Amino acid sequence: MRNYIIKRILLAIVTIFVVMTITFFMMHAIPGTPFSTGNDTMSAESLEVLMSRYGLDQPLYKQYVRYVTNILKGDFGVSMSNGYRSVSDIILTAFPVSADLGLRALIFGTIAGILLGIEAALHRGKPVDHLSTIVAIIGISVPSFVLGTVFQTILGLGFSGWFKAAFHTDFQVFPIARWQSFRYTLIPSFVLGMGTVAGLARLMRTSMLDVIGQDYVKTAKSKGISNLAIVWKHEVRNAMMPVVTVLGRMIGGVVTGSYIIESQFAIPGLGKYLVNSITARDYTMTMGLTVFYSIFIVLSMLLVDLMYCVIDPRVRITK
Amino acid sequence: MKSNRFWKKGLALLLSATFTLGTLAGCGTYEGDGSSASNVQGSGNTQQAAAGVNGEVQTVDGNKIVKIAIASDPEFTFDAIGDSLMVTNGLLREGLTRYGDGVLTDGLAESYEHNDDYTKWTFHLRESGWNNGEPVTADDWVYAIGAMLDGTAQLSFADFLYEIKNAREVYTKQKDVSELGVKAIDEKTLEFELAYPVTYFPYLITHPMHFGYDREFSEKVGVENIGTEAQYSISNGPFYIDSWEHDNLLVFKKNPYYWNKDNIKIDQVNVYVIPNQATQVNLFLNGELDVVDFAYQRQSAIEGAGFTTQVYNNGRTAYLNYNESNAFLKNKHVRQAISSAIDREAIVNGVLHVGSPADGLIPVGLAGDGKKSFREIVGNNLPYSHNVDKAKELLAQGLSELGLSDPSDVSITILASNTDEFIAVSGAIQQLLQENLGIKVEVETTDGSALRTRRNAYEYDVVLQSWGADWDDATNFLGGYEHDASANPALFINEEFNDTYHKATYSTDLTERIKLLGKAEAILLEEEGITPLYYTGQYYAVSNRLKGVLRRAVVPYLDLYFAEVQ
Repeated sequence: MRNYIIKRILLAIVTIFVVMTITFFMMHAIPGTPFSTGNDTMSAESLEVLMSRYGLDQPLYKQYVRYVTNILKGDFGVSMSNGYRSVSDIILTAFPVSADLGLRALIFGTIAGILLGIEAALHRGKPVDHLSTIVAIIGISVPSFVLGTVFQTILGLGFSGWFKAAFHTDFQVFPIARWQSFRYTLIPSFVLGMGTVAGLARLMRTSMLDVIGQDYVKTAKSKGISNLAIVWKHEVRNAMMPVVTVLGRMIGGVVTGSYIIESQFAIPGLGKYLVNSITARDYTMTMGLTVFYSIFIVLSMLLVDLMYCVIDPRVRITK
Repeated sequence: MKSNRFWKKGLALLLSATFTLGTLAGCGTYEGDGSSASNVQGSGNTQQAAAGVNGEVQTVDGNKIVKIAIASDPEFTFDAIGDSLMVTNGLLREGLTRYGDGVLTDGLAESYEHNDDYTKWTFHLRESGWNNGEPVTADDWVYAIGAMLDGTAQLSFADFLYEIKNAREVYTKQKDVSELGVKAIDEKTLEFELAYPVTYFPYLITHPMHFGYDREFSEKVGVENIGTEAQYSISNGPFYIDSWEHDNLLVFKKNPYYWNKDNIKIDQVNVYVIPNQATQVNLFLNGELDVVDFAYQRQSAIEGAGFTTQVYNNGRTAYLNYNESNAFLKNKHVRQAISSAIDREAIVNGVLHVGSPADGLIPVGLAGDGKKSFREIVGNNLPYSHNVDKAKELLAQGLSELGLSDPSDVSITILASNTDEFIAVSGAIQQLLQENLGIKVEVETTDGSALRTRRNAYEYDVVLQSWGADWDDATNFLGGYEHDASANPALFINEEFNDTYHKATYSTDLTERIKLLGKAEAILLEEEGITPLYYTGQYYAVSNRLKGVLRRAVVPYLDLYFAEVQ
């Protein structure tokens, strides 16, 4: 087990290094410079001075070596498009917010999705099954900015406005945007979690139906074990395996921030930085985020692999 | 069986609970509970209590908090460029001059004079202070401008400062910063020596790049940190940054050392970072913002809620920029045909729903000789306006000069940035040119940075772009077409234009100068070096409790200097 983990961590370092290298060269291959985004008529001469101030006039391999050396020293540099704040400062401020939002969405999405999937499978063809299909279709096909707009308008502006008028109060039940207290997290987490609900509900339903037909379930029933025990101990536990696999990927995707939801609800998270840094050719920011994200995702993959052993005793890590 | 039913019920209950309560399962808590901001919707029935940092409820006597939104976290570095900053910077730092209610007025300088040929300007500073109590001195400007040019401080766009003597040489390291044409004669007297006559210098220095910064403070906190956090920023304007949560909220409070503090009628400005415009509108409708910009689709909703909507001229002109090395576009008549084929009214009324058809390159509202605006003096300067017959005629003439006969032999690609506005407008132009001229037109959209790089490498046929005024003078628009301008992307080279522009540059008669610039504009447009399309406009609304909000065609686009809360 220990050897396995060590091996995986070494492999993770190699993976991160490869991702970093590819991103570095791809980023520099896109036309444009960090300084040609905002100003229309910068003279070639001024651009030259700027490029040399940032060492961007040097050969690419030299820039690469310098970048890697700095990373190994823990220096991610300053962002060129965010008022020259340091990249690590931006990540450390914004990531916890994204992670907070992502975890809320993930916990809501996982619980609701799995329960909905179980219910749908247990009542195949009944209303709850149809409900799960509807939820899945909405969650998968309606883009989150549409859901966000709908909930922001209906709950944030409409319902909360009515509530304030009806009860002569200043209390905003569902705030429209921003990230201040628990109430503010409700709509964004719900909207962000809808995708997870949809995906997991379908997956769990299929997986459950597969398990329900298995011989060991019939055996358990014939032994007279209570339904609750059959569902939890035999069906759900076995049906969970594929869900856990997917969950690993979802953690990476959801926790690292959502551009659309964060922008729509004015949440000070990390989501917009990656998109904006690429548009702005903010090399240091893009690289910093790439390295950070790959560390995060590689680790969450590792965690999922280890979780298999916990959930399914049949899975054993061998040499 | 019994247990089965129980189980089902239990699960269903749990399920519905998860759905209804939604995200109650969330982990982690937030400190405090942000109270909802004051409600000023519709009736104008204002109430107190506004949300402060971390939800700390601040009740300020008389409701003097103004709440505005900006789209992205601002930058407060020395050079200060960026959309957000165009709003907020005017509140924090002040220039030697500033815009008053409509006209240019004195800022931190109480008076100034210039020599006869407008190459030496002397400013006499007021008694005023930075918010840390340090006095505003002439050295602030010497320090800040020098530090940007010699590389001590960040500078993203040096060309703005090149009118200062030796600025270019200092930036390119040919001269020492001590030779820069910015000098402190004494503590309160500042002298600018310029590389060429600049009659509009008082307008130019309203741009934040020409602002000063306190040397002692900068060196204490480290120049590289300036403007990155509240504690690394100071102000010499009406407000200072009291707190700054990145991407979230900045609280501006009144600078107690500001010279005109008694005439500033608001006590505090809460600047929220709200990237999404639709969200900004919803917050405005809910009374959480006092000013909002919006797209025309939201006009009815905002008016329906009892607000007056307005449009301000934001000093921007959209135009087509030709690559004159292109096989077809090198012909003047082809370019004139394109200009005549475009129905500018249709673009403004049918696509944009805001703005006005362009009658020149210099937008309406841009300053002229100090009494009248540029467009008032120069008038309509568009030689090839919408006329389909004329367009066909011009095209036929151009084609025969090129040795072609069939319009469908002409194939051009319009390059545009991938913003909503330009995607819609480039599509409309494609349609107009294909229908009216019968030429083949394709549209290609890309992001701004790639577009500029391609344009500067001349890898395009036609670029649809817009240009906004950085300073309040026509040179801002026309300077780019001088033959030696290092950033003349259109490859427009015309001796008559150069001569006229050069004469205007050195003219010290303010009205004569504008007329010369008008003539230069006329030459540019007769030759169709570029084809102006429309002047942009922006819808906005102001809450009913806030009066005296000013919108401008140049920075600051939103000015709260004269604002009052009622």
